Amino acid sequence: MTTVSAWLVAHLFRWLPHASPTGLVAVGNPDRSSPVIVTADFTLTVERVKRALEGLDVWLLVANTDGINVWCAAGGGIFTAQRVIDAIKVSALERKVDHRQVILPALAAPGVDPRLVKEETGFRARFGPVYARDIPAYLAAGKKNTEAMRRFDFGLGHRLDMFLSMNFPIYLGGAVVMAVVARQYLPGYTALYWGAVAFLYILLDLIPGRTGWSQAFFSAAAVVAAWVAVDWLRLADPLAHWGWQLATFAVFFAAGFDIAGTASARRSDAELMMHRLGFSSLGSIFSEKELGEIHLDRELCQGCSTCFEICPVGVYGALDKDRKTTFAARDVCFACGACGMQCPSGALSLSH
Amino acid sequence: MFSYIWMKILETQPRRYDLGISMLSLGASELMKNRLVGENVHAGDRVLEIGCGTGTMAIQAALRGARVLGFDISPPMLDVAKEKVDAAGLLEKVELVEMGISGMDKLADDEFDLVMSTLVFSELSHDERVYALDHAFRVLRRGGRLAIGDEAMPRGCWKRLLYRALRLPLLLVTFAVTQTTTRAVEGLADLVSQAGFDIESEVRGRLDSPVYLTAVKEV
Repeated sequence: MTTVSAWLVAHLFRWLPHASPTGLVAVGNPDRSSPVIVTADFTLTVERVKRALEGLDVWLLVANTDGINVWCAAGGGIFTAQRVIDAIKVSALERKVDHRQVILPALAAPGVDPRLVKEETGFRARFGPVYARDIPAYLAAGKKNTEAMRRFDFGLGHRLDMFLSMNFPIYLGGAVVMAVVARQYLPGYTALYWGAVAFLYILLDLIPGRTGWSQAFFSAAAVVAAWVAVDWLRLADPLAHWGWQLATFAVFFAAGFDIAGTASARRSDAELMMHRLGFSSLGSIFSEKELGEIHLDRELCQGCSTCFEICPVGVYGALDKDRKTTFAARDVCFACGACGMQCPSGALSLSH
Repeated sequence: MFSYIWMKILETQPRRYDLGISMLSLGASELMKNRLVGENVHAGDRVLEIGCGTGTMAIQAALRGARVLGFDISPPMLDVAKEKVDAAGLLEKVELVEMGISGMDKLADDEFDLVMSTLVFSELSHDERVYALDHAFRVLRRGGRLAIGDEAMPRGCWKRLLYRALRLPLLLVTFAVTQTTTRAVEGLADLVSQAGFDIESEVRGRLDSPVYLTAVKEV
């Protein structure tokens, strides 16, 4: 039951939570001086972290995050310092290791305040790499991240990883409706839907358009234009498949509805639309929270470069001549909140 | 593994929590909370609530004249709780603290008349349950009581299958609307006994769930 549900959630329904057992796990043969790696309890996350740690002798401390992955739980206010504190104290970590340090996943930064962890447990929490696969190299380098290890890679690999699990629920919803009202079109819908998703996910970086929606529209327009041309040449009737061509627009729109939010480092068009339509509190799903812009209070900045080190997309640059942080690429910020949470002097905040 | 919109939805989940739990239990959770408070809280009692969530039970207990300390690990849940406590005019009777169960080690010995908790133990891991029960025992005065209401895993494999089959659709709909879910707890009574308590009663609903358990720290 657990493995079946774990498989389904990992591959088809990644939107759903799925929790692994929490607590301290020995990977290899750790001793009292071995590093302690903290992670979230989403089953797929734990599996991937364990795989990445194969061959090392480390402690893996799985925090209770309600079965949700590191980044979503941290951004959603679930993976907080209290979760790390509970994990450390309940597992009696202080009796298992002699050192007083835990390594957090970098993507826990929007939620976990390391100062609170230190205050309550005496353990210093430092941020390791974004990806578990970089943990061996991070440890080998004396717990140092390279620039690449600090970055989230929204490239093709990420999109292919998300391909099935992000799109299957939407496909299934459409397929159920189709199976009931027009069963003869189900195979056509299936081919069209997965074709559209594949087109978008594989070619996303090459498709023009600033927002996910415009990319979906241009893609649909290009596909339909080609289709019309082929029909014209072969059948002498450009609109021979006009119904399917209309459906192509619909399917591209469905596939691209939140592609900016799921498959790239951009704000979600879907949420932006809700705000523009005035649904700032639709059933409280889209609450009073605004889409934040990062704001720097130069007076407060002490030039510690924590923001530079923690930002997963490289918004921050080197310090300026007054030893204040700078924006290297402010426009790539999608308001994950990591820098605001980690800034020790409160100089960074999300505002609008 | 990231969707900006999903993160935002999770962030606002506490505002839908009460609805979610009510949906998931088909209204039974309210009945359970009413019963737990009605049967265990007396005027003047000092009450600790483990995982007070949005404050429903803490408010009920305070209305019966108890002084309540409620803690929860979720800041947004506590924000909702504070609003509700304030609206009920009970700010002096209900104290809310943000901490996880590991924060219980800061509470004094023999301090409380009642430790209560609903739908929290099912969210904790085995180690966390043991930890919470050990400290619940410690902070209760002699003769103090523990009252827990929770989702329980049915005993017997056919009952389990039926329970899962009935629950799955409810689980999916509730999660889609409110991002709320619970996990059934097993063997709770054994853990409570192991912590030193004497079990007073263990009542189970149809299909064995929910479980409603009271225990006492012997004089």
